[in-house]
Amino acid sequence: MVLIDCFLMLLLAYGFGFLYYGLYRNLSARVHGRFGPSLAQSFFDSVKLFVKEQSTTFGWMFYAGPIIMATGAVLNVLFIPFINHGDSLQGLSSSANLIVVLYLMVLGPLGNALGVGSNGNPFGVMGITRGLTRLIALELPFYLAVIGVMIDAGSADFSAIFEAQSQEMNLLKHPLLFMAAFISFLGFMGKSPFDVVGAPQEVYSGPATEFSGKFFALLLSQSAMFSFAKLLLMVNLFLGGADDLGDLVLKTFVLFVAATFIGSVYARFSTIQSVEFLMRIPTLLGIVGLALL
Amino acid sequence: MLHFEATLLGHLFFGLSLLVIVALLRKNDGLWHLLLLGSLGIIFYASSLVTLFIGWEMMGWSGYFILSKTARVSTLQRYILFNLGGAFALLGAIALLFSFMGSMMLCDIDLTLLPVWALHSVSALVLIAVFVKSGIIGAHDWVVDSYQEASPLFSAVLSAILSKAGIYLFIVLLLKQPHDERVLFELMAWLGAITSVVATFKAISQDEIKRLLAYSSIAQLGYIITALSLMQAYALEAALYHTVIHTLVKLLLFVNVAAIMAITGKERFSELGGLLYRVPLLFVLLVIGIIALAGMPLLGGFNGKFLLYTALLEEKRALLLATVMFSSASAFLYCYKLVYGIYLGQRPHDESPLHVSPKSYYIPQLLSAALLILLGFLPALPTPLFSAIGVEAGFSALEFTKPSILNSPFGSFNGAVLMSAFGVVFVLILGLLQRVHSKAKAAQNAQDISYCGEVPKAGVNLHFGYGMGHELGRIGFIAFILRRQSRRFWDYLNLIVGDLSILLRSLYALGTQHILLLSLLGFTLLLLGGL
Amino acid sequence: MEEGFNAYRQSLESEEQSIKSTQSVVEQAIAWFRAHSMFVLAYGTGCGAIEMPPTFTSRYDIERLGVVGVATPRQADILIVSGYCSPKTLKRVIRSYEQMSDPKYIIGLGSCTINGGMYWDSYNTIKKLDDFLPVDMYVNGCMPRPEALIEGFVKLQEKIRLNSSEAGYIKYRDNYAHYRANQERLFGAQVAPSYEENFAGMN
Ligand code: SF4
Repeated sequence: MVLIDCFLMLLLAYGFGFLYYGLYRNLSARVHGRFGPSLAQSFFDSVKLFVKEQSTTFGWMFYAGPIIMATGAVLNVLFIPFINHGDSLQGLSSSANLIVVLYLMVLGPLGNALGVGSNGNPFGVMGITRGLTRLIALELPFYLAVIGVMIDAGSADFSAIFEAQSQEMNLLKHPLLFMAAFISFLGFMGKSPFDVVGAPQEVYSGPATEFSGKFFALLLSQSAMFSFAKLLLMVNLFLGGADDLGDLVLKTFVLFVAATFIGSVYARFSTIQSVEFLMRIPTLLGIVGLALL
Repeated sequence: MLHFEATLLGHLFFGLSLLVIVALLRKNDGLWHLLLLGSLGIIFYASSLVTLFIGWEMMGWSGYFILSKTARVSTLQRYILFNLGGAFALLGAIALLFSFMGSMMLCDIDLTLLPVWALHSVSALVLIAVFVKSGIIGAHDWVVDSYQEASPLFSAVLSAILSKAGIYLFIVLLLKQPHDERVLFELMAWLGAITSVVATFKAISQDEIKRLLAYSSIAQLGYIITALSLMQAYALEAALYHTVIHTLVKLLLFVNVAAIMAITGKERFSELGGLLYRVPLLFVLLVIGIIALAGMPLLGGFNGKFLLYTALLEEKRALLLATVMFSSASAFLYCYKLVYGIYLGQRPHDESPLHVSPKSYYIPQLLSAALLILLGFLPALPTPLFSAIGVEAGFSALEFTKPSILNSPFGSFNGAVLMSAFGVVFVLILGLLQRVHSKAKAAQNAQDISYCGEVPKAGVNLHFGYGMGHELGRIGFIAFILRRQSRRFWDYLNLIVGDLSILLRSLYALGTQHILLLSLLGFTLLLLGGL
Repeated sequence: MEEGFNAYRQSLESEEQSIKSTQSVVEQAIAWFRAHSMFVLAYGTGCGAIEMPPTFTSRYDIERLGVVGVATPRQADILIVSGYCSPKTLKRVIRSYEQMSDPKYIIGLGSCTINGGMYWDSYNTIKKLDDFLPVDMYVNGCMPRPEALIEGFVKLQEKIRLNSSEAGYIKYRDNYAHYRANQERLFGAQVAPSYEENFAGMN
């Protein structure tokens, strides 16, 4: 039963992940005044990359890096409940809690960082360093918000967090915390202005520099699923979770569109700028939000 | 007249010391190590304050002798000065306690009987001893240099065991605090959290491997100090759990680094790199170590942090928790630097031949890696022990259901499920990736990287090892942290003491009649006071 | 016999049909995906490069065809060599091409890549790109308009869908000695390391 549930969750995450990715390209094309590619374009890309005849590898650690990354993304999908009640689409979320999920989110990137480091390309590691530096600042406001949510719910379990939001969702209860978390969330999703990690010209697309063929395909697929997991986390923490599948689609979609629109009108912050920005405004918002708790 | 008593807490700490010291025992300086172990035994099984103090002093001295083989004089002086300072503070606390309790036995200590000022001074004095031993920021000056200059294996002992003696001292002497007098512990909690933040950033900016590890030790002890200051059952569990994990992790990491030093003869990130495919097993062990050090789930390192976070949540200490989580997120950077600087990236060009590392380096590492994995699989395995220790210390028992489920008042998680889910998913994806049509083509050589169409020439530095973390220095508040140095404060203190002694010496240089006059004056004052 | 544009077109399509009928469904599907997702490494070697930005941005929006720019050769499927190449540039172009994964294609943009164009008597540019690297699609003109480039992409798409053995990367693999000899003649001692062993492992 659990296995079927997990399988369904993965299927949904995969489908929606790619759909949203396609939508993202489409929407930002519209913002630019273009038409953009077809909705399934990212899916085509990943299939094409999977069937490339060659992919360059630099040894077993390089091979394992994207796999660990993808494993991390899959685990995240499995440990975050999709629906805020009942038994279906819960996956393995009953054997973990919010803190575990937060830390699982960095496990995959660490594996990938090892893979990137092992190929000996300095640009990849520059990207990783940027990512880790930015992570320092990204996590602070997010943690502040999450701590507020957990204290409010009196537990780190997702069920308790849903319970606490049954009357009024956290977005309305703690708007400041939501804002702090949302700004961090933009960075987690790799949206502008916090997307300096993979700057294509400056550091040769950063961590992804050496990944070709099936490795890059795996990275693309996992990033689609991972983005969906992050959307899901935000929905669960601040929008009260989803009552049913329709609700899930609606809420993730709204959040996603908001993130896309904000992301496509900003220019890129440098690493240091983004750290300094994140340490000021969202952190302050988070602290004030906590004080109001 | 030494008094001993076997407690569970003592067993735990002594067991850890035994594990580390036996794992690291070598023929040439085995005697001193055994003396150290003996002094630790005296501390951990002491039932009277005198015994405890004797053990404390012996520990300091035996450490000094081992250190004196490799360290510079100034480092040794700093080591002994700080440790003596700590020991004197402890002695003061013991004297105060005795004057109020009238007994030297540990079991007779009842802090509720002390008046408020005495309670505060005893706590402050003990805290000084604890802080010096664990190298809390401000008193960490001796830690970093000693760790760096000690022989690689002895730094493992210093970090894994000796720094934990302070934790033991705190639990034994101060844990049963009357709960309304908490100002000092509030301070302690923040000191721990700030220590962890500052030490983390300091660690990131180091170029020497052992200095990085030393700062990371300080940061980890910061978490433990914060956990202890909460004085609550789950926080105690967090502190003990983290102590155990930190001992294992630091044993692993220091021995790993020692092996690398034995192989290459280098100890800076800027001279190392690209060893991954030369010594793959060491690489895997180090990765296990840093995953546990960074506190990521799957391995044991997460459990201590999880308990600490939930304890802080339960106490509703949101800002403190945010600080601790912030420092633990920043720790990823130095964890990555550690593994990248040594094993990943490109080999440096002045490549000197590699030596074979002795097999004995692998045993302690394998041992602690196995324990870390076991604790990841069964996170609640040691909970009954911690629970019993908590009961000994007067707390309520901890919740325990299954070894695989770690409980806390703020939620629980199942380590076995996490670990097996990871394993299954990893294997599935690996299988998928091997199945697909695409063939993996091995890169030609280390120069076969996409480098803007160039073929990197020999002599171009492609290793980013010591550049990593430099960017941080340009971020305002981090640069502020990095500029602070407690050394300056101690140097300043040194200057003032020097000036004062010059003043004192000028007394001796006075003429005879002045001295006579002064002593007469003093005598009169004494008389008056007596009357 | 019909005449005119449509008749010509039909004759081309029937040729296409006949090639397709020899392929299995899976091969056709793979070819379709390859044709509809093209990652481009746009190497701005000559002045023709100025026409690439409008091709990629709002005015002409080539992303509609599934064409996206990438930064590194590892991920690219198509290399655009946009115009004349000095030997110094060519060395980097060759290196980038060799680091791309199969299947890979080259678009030669502008007359310069065909026969040297207006630089035909220059002492410092190569005359014919095809001597050094296998060009799959030429887009002529000096400089070609974005419409021409798009046309080139569409034609290349058709070629990719046919999945023929005429593709440049296969030619390069099979006749590596020929290309390498030309490269060595041009660069002399400064030629980049050979990738021959890599090809040996592939067949
Ligand atoms: S073909 Fe014309 S536009 Fe293109 S590079 Fe040559 S001279 Fe320049």
